[in-house]
Amino acid sequence: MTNNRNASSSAFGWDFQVNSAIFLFLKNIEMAQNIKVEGKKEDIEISLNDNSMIYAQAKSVVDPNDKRNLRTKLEKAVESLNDACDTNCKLIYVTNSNNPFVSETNSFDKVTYLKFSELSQSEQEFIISCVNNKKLENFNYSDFYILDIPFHGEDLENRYKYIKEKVNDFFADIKVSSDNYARKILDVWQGLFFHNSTQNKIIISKEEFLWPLVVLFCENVDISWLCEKYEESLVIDVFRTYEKTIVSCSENFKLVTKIINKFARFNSSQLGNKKFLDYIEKHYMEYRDDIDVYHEDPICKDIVIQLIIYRILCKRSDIMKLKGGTSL
Amino acid sequence: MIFISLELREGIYRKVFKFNNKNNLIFSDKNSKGKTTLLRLMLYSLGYNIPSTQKIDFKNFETTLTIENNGKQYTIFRQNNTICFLNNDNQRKYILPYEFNEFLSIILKTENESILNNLLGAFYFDQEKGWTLLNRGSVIGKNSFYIEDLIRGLSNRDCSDLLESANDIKFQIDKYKKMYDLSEYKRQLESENTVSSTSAKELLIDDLSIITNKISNINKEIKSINSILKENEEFIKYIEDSCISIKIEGIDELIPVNRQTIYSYTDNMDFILARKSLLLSEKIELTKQLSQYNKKLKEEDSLIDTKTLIEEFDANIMMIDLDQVAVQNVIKKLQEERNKILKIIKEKTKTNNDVIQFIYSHVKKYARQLQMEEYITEDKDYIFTKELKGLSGAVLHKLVFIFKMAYLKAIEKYLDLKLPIILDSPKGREVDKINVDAMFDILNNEFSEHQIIIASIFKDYNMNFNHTITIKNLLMDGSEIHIAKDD
Repeated sequence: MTNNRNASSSAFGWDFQVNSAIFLFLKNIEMAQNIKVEGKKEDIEISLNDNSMIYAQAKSVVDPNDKRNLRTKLEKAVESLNDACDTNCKLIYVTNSNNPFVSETNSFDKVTYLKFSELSQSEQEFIISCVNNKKLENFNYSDFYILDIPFHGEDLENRYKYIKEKVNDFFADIKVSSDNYARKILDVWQGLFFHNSTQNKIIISKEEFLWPLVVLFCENVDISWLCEKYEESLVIDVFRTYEKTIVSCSENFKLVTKIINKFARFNSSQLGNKKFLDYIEKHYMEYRDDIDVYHEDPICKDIVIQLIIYRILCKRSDIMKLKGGTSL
Repeated sequence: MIFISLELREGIYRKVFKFNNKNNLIFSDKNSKGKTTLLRLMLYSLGYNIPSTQKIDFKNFETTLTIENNGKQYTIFRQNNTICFLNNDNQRKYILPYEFNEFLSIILKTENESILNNLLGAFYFDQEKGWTLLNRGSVIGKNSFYIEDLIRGLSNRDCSDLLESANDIKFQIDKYKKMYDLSEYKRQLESENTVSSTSAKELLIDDLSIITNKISNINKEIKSINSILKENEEFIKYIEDSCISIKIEGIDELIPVNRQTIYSYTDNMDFILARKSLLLSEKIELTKQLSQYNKKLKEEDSLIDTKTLIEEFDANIMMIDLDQVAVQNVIKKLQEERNKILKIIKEKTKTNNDVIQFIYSHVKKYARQLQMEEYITEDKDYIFTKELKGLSGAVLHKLVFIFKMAYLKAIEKYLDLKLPIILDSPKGREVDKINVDAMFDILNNEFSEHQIIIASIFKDYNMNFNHTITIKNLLMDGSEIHIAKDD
């Protein structure tokens, strides 16, 4: 029987819970399908694509050196996680304390993710005693993990330091240049989870979680490559004037499908970005009738066309990287 | 000077009080019966600016006071702010308080304003302030007493021009001090940065318009996205409606061409929907902010009346060009100038002045009699002392009595005027019987030729009272009903 252990957190506790959810979701992004914060059973619930579940309890302390009630919290978490798990699940206790067991043989330093067998003897003994005291007959020690994320301070840069590191690691895994996106996407994800928690029935899917990342990448598409061909001030001026048109056209599916399919059949000795530029250089004139841009100066029209094509190709590339790296 | 009788008329009610030329007691066995009111009405009827007591408004009274000074009787009629003599060749009505000194000078035969302004403080001991007024301060209402002024008057040393100059300079100093306060206020405003070219409301409106603008832009973008979605939907529907299929060599099954199978369609859609979702989230946040700003604006509006006045005031202050340092310098120079004049006045008052010695010697004499010598220094300038803080209630009570008796003696000597001595509640709260008896010994021995009028709830004074006025219930109790005839 699952007891209802949903509880409202203080602002700090809530912040920790949300960021723990982001951390865990990124950690399990390839296998993850969706995530719920403040779920029916646990603080964090992640569904995996093999039908298994991750249940996590996130318990924080404002002062990481505060040792009061840590063991009590851990004991309650063990019981709660056990109740949540029916079959085939991973149970994770997430904390920000630098010594969650108040142990002399502390296993935790910075971001630490340990399974039960990796804990020190005294730490293992404590878990065993919790299980015995609460008579948790079905508790599977091999499914139990502890995740410690340093998370403290009034200054948010400091507080989110290790969450941002996880985000940057994620960017590196999917081979995307991070370029200060970490803070921006963290804001978006935190907002997503906040909105999610206030509506009990909504689950955030992997798609909902990851697509904002692509949107963010596309916001800062590079235009400097055109400045080698045209005057910089002209390129900037055209870009600013026609930015909305460029965005709008690059989402028009008729044009998108034409460009990406033609590009797929384009042969070039260049790779990556350079292949895009090569294609644009050789084929942009073919799209003069497809892209309706009014300008007296035909050069300006050509600049717009090339920017549209480049945006479409970059977007496609980012989507492919994200899908490849996250099994989206 | 002696009080002979006082007739009070209040509406149709009339009552007459008669006084003995020696010792009089106004008695009631309980407080708040009208004793103080009677004393004050006596002075009011003489023309003094005396505040009414509770429940009785002196303006409602017509008073007829009969007094005698230097063998001559005067009957004085007062009605509100006009006063006149009834049995005199002088038929003129005097307007009070402006012409009071002019009026009083006829009775007392002196036009010396320094004397006329400082007599009340010498002969009248008010119940409240009379027993703490030593040598400077308020007697009652706007009547004040200054020993320097009295001494100048008695010694005929006219410093009126100098005093006028000193007062003019004080007036200027006060003005400059106000200017300085304004400049200080302006400095505070500047440092707090509370006043800028924009008011709080204008800043709010600015922020509101920025947010409104952002929301408007987001709405336009969402509109554009919806337009794209519609266009894409029409496109894909057209393809799906065409029911196109693909045959791949080696695969028997035909692959339909639809939104699921068209390469990158779902990705494109997901991207557009994600972009729309982000914009909608941003719009929700901005709408919340808008609501908060609107709420603040409503709060600002509700304060608008007061705030606008304050804001206007502050804005005007900011426009004033005041050199704080220059103002301070002017104040300093004026104060120096005033201090010089005051020093001259002081020297003119004190140098070789017999009146000072006279008063001092009598202060010492009466202090001896009341065993208060330890409080009197050997310097005759002691009578100008300002050090009253350390004195207990009883000590001050006795010192006040001593000083006033000394003043009365000086007025008697230098003006040939024996003023009546009016004491309201001489026992006070802190003076024991021995000391009260000692005070009355002085009255009996030194002032036997003065009329004495005591108001008290006690009768056991060390004095034979020639006449007692008993007030049983109220001042106008037992009054006749009298229909006033036109005189």
